[in-house]
Amino acid sequence: MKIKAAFSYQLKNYFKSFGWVYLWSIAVVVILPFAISLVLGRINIYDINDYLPQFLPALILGFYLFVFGGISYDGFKLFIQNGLGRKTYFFSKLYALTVILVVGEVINLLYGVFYRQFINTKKNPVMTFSVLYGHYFDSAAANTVSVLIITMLFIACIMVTGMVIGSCLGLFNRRVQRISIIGMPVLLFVLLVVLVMLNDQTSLKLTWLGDFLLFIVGMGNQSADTGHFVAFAPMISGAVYIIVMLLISYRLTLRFRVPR
Amino acid sequence: MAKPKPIKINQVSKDFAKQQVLNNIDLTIEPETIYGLLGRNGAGKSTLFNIITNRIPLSGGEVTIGGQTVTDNDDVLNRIYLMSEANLYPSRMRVKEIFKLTTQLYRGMDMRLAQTLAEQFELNTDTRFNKLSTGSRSIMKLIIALAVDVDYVFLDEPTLGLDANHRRLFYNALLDSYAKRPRSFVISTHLIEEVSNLIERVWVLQNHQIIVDDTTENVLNKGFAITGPAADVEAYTAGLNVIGHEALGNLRVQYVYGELDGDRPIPDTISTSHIDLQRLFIYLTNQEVVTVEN
Repeated sequence: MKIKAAFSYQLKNYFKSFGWVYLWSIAVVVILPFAISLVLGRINIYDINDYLPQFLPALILGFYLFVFGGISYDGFKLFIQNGLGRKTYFFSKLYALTVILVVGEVINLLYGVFYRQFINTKKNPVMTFSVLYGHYFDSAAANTVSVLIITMLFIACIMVTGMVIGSCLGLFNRRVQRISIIGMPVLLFVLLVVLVMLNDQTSLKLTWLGDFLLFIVGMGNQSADTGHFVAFAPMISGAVYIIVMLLISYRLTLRFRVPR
Repeated sequence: MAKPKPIKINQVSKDFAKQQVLNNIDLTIEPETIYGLLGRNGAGKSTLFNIITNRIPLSGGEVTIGGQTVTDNDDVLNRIYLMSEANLYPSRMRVKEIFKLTTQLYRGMDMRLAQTLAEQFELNTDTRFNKLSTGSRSIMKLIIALAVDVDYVFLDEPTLGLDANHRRLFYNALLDSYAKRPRSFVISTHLIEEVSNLIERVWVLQNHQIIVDDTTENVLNKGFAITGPAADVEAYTAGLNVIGHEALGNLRVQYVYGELDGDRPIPDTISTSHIDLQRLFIYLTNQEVVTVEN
């Protein structure tokens, strides 16, 4: 496989688009409200704290990896035109997005520290999952590492979900893709409503599904206090989910073809 | 540099739903040879190219180079370039960026040649791909096809949208490039007259199969026009492989593909002559053709 050249090309492109997504997000979330306040003459009551969410970089990263993980077919077209097969495309994309994930998470951490120090000095944790798993181990270092791993696995789960959706859509023509993109959220919403209604009638917490969901996020022992949930559970379930989704995405990618 | 290994197409078949497009195609593409793939619209020429370059899966058979399958195999796919009507480049990418990308993903590209050809064809390399006209897109892809470092170049309707001047420029550039760096070109086109002097070997695809696979010289040597009074012409061509005919009053022309019967004397009233590749193709691929000698 000619993975090095492919990876290098993908990574460069991903970094470029990642930067653009950051710039646009900052423009929309920070600069636009500031400009509106300025125009309306309400700058004296403008507080950056109201507009700058602590989880902005995490949201950007998750959104970016979901969307760009989902864009599959266009990359395949370009690669097959340039004498590179589906396997090379899949692995170069996976490696490049993983690098983006790691870099994005480092940015999240730095931003979290900065936010806590200078923007909102309330004792919010730098990493969100600390609330759930931050005290599982006796060692602070072990807790930090485990929460970091859980956070990265969580974002990776979002990424591979996008990859599966993208590679699935890549098998269909534009028309079916558009219908699916519009139809799937509607279908999911209906499913959610049904689930909520079911939950009203017979609490899902009492079914095996509820127990299973609690188990995979490490809340199997419901008497455990917040922060002491089993850190290994989301790591294992997350890793299993990622592997399964990657296998599905890989098999679907191997079925890509140029339209007739 | 070691001579590249030939591309072997073994028993390749392709169906789209219930429609058969290719049926047990067997071909060998030798290195450093210019081929012409001829066939009527919908014969399956583009499908065959797409299969060879692993753009679409095949229904049966295999395509190999040096015993290695082409399926998701960069080592062999990277030695092949297919220029086709399909626009697989990012629409917002500039021409010069596409050249650079091709250099990066293939083993290289003669950028000097690409630049020279871009100037000759008056192609602005700063233009984005989606802003190019059909002809300019063809030109861009042709420039890549001639400049990229590969052993096999497949050209599917290479002159689509090109005016006569640009077509002439392209044929000259192709011959020049071939002379400097011999490699295989497989050209699929309907402009047979224009490429008949370029191609060394001819394939004709008809009814899902290859019905002619021979050198251009042999193919032309097997094509005859037998002209004369209808009765004499029909008598002389009886038992020969007649692929078509034309008539004007009592004068009749029978087109024959294959060897003439050497023992049979040619009457003084009729004349024989060879026919050009285009006419031969027209009659060979006419649905009413009786038999075809391969």
